[in-house]
Amino acid sequence: MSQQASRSTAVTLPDPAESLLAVRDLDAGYGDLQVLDGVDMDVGDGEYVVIVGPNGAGKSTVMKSVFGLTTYMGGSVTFDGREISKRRPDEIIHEGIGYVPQNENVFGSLSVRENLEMGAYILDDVPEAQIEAVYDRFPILEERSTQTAGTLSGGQQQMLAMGRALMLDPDLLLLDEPSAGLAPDLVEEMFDRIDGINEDGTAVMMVEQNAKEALRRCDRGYVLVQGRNRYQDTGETLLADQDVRQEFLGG
Amino acid sequence: MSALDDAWDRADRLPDAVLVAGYIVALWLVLAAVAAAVGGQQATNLAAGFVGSVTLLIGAYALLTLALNLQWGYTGLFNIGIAGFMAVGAYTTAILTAPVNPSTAGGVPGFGLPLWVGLPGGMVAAAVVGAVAALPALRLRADYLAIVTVALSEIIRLFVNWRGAQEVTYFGQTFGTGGATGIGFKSPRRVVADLVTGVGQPVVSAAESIGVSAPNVVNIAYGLGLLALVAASFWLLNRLVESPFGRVLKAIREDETVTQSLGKDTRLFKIKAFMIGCALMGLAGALFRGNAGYISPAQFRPTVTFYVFAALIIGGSGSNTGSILGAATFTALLFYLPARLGENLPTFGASSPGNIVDAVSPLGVLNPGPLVAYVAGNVSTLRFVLIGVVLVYIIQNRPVTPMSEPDTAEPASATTTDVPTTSDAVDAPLLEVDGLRKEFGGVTAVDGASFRVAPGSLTGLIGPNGAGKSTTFNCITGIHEPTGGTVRFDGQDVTGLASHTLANRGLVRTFQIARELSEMTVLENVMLAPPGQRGESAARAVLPGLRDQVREAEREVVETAWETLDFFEIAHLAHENAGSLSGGQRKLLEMARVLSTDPEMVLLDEPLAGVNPTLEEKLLDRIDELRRDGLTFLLVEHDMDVIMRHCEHIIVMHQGQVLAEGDADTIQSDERVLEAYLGGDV
Amino acid sequence: MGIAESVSEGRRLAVERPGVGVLAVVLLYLVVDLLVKLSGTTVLAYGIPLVGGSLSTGSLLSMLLDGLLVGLAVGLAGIGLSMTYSILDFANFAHGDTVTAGAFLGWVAASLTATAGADAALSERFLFDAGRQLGAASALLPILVGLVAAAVGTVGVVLLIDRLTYRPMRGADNISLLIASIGVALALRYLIAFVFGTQTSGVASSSVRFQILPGLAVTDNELALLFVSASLMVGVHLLLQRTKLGKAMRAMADNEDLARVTGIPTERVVRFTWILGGALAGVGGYLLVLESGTISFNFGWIRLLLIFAAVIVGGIGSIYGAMAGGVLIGLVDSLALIWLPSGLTRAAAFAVLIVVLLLRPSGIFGGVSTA
Repeated sequence: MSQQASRSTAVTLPDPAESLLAVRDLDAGYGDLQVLDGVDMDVGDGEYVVIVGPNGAGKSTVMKSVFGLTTYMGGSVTFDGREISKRRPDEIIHEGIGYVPQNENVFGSLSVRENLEMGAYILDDVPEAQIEAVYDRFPILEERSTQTAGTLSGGQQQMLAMGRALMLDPDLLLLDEPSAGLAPDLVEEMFDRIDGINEDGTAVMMVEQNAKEALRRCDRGYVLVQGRNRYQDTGETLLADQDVRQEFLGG
Repeated sequence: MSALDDAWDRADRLPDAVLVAGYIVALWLVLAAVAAAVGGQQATNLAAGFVGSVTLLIGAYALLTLALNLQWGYTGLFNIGIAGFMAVGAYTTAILTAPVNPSTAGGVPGFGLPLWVGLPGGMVAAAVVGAVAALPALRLRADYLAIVTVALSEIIRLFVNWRGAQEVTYFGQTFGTGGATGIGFKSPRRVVADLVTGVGQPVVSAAESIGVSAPNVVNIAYGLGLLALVAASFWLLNRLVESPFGRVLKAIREDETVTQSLGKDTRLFKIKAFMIGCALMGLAGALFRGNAGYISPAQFRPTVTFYVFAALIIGGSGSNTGSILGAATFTALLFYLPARLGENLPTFGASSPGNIVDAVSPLGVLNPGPLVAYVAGNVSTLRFVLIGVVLVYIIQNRPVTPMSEPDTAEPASATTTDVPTTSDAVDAPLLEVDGLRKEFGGVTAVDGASFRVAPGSLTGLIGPNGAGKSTTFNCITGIHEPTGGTVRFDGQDVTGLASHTLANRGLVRTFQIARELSEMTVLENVMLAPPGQRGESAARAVLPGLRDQVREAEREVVETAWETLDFFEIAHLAHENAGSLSGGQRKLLEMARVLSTDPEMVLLDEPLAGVNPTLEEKLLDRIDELRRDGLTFLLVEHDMDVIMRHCEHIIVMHQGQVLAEGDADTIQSDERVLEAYLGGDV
Repeated sequence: MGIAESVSEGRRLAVERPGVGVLAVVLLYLVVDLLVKLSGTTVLAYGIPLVGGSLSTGSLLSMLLDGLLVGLAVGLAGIGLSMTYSILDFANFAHGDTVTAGAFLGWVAASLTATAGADAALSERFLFDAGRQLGAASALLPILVGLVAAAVGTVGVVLLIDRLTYRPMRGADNISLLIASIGVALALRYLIAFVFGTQTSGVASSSVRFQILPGLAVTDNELALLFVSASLMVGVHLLLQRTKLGKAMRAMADNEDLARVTGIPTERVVRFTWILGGALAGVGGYLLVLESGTISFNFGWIRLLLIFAAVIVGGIGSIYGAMAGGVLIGLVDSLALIWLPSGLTRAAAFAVLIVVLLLRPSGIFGGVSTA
């Protein structure tokens, strides 16, 4: 007997001021093309939230919209009570949000250490303590701190990209399909690390293609279909819901 | 409407020839007026001199601008090696027509042939050099091609400047380039002069009676001769660009990949257009730089190229009439007139000081005379500053239409090594993919995919992100060359063939983001598609006898196009520019266009992405109808509903391989497929 | 790789990329020929010289030095072009005239400094007096003043041009920008001609020669060029590797989108790139004139294609590429004299440019990628 996950149409939304990140009725897209249609989403302090859904659902677009990388068309995005809907990425960084893009997420011609330094560019001095923290979390980066980032393996580059985003000790970390392109045996390890980051207090919003793993580990999940909310509930509940599973296969 | 708008309107409606002729005459009058103002006693002769010189310049630059317009304005080939091709034409003509026994000491001998052999020879040589340069270079992106052409132009100049090529003897014949000093040959102007003083003597006498000297009459005659050549080239080029050949050129400029996918061998078209342009440049080189029967390397520096560009930008690239008007404006008003004005500017008695300091320092005591005199004395130099500023101003306000990037994906080969076999069984699959592999660097995108597509079917190809669907699609349709495996179409091995070859065999594709050729009308887009159009031959487009064949063929093409547009219910948009269509209309146009290639199998790349339900139904209806006519469709889609409801056969890919095949029910109840989509390892 | 594997790898390469195969064969022949020439022998086949000839070590070293000197100056001038190409994404055809402008500003300053306090009319001091040619050994202070003036002056020129021409067009396609740069080139070149005239003037000459080896001598001006270029290249290297701004420049050239996402202030970095590129272009021009001794209004324009060659061979967007490419092209231009007549050596450098564009447009250092 399968559980029933909450249908987004039947959900009451919390007061945006209570969430760390609140997305309300967001319309967004690229240029003339609208991808998101009235999307609502919340991430609480220290929460681990994932966005899953079939292809073309607009999952990455939600995340990019939070970070100011899309064309804003309506609705609102608030962070810690402040409106950030129309801000630019280099302004949003100051707010305490870090972003890890899916592809090309390291400076290939800079060394590992230099990549991390770039993550803290807006500060006057290099925060050595923060670099130490990143090295603690990803020891392999310390081993290869002088190595050119372009010569790292896929998994190591992913770690470096995350480390870079953590350099400003953000309150919220945005991860865009971190498992994409990773060898299957590295995927488990990578999700473990993300768990670790979240346990240390950073809120995580993650878009994932690998819905099973993501829903297993998160606090709450949102299922997006064709640019709209469809289901939202705890990860477990979503995984157990037959309707949700079918959503991925149409029919 | 203001008087200016009125006049503009009327000018717009005049036939082009009248417009151009009128403009040139107007320029003559301006120059004559200047001559009258400064000439005094000699005004008439001065005016005649001006008119003659400027007409020569207009004629030469018009030829060059028309040639560049064909290469760049129409075909999108950014050639800034114009000076080099002028040199090839001029030097070939010179070598062919230089006297066998030169009269001057130290002159370089040649073959002594007449000009009517030498000039075409120069054109042919320029075209050949153009082809040789084009073969490797045309696939480069525009700015790289620009650099290559200017480098080539300089190499040519350095070669003709080289002492070693000055004079050589092969097979008993001595000839050469004359090195740095240059070479004298049969002067085209002399030929004209002989004609004028011979047959045209009455005209000369009449001219002399009003104070115009005989040499000036010759100059004017020469200039008019050049203009006649311009008119002839204009006429020929217009025929060319308004023919199906020209249509393909315009399509190439806009989107070469799409043009290839419609079955056109774009490389061939580009080379032909390039060669024709180079031939014209060679002719201009001989008749312009060589008009007095003498050329030297210094006359072929790259600077000329930029003047031609300026002329083209001023006139507006993409229009032959604009090219001539731009050339006339540039040469007369920006190049020639300022220099003549400068020579005759009043300087209030002051003479030009030798340097800028002496010109500027008297300003300190409020004496502008020396500065004015200095400026007047250096107008020749200042006019180029003016040209530069005008160029910048125009391009800031009227940027050129961005051209598409040439396809940077790996090109597949255009040849095949198969033995054609016949497939007799009715149920034999139309498309067979066996063990297809594609590696990019270290990543294996497709890892041994095998499947069949039955004729007349609508088959769906699905799979989660990264499954390898798009790569498989691109390997089948000639965008990528497979690393391994085979693709057979209609019983023949088509692995790795180029997209235009595949299109000619009946295998075509649509693009995920509709790539309509936005500057062309809907009708033109569709008319581009049918294969084997006779009119796409440059020769047939132009030569008088063959044009009727072309016209016949065009009529058929037009009729079929209208039928296709009707079928997709977009006939009312036929004369709209494709770029102004809505998203849904563009999808319909894409389908119409691809079907006009008369294919056997169509691969559809996410045709329904972003399409509203009504349009979706319409498209699917059409597809069903076409299937009844025998067409086969392979569909890559993310919209599961559509796939499950309409496709009779579904292929699921995962991690580069085929995971499952079957009908909708089979697939939906397959646990492995579900797992794959949810992200687990299978 | 074993021998057998290398051979089959080579054969595969030759079949798939015939251009590369031909190139490899040609290079091999040239190296063998060079070595045989140095030994002074000639190998004949049926009476036709196949390889060899004669070449003294001194001549070879002298050519290498020439090529190095020109290459360093060209490389410095090319850094600005390479950065514009990569960050602003267009081929700047006005770069040659920027180099000229810098050179003129520098040499006027040098001339004024050298004649400070002299009893001569301003016009004589401002412009170039054939009787007075400066050299590093004889007029060190004016030369240095000129060097600084060249750098600073060109920065002003470059920023002004950007404000007037390219800033209003930010975001336009790269062909439109290229054409705009052609307009700028014309206007700038003939403005210089208007102010300074179209003649060629001699401004520098060396007074001291050091004989290092038989056949190899170096003048004081050449030494100055060597010293300044090397120092500047080291300086640029230190800037890029040790300073925050330099790392940001490398990051932006690598991946502009990621730089923005990381919070790097891209506009500021772009402006600094213009400034650095402009200053180096001016210095490069100044040094080129120091080495050749003469200056004319279009000398930068004439060298533009050579600078493009350096940038493309080295890899667009790479500062190290521009320097390496400059030296390489300078060496080709100079060493070509061993095999080609003097009228055609420049053509050899251009031929290299064409070959690189056809076979490997990303150049030596270009095309760095992430997974």
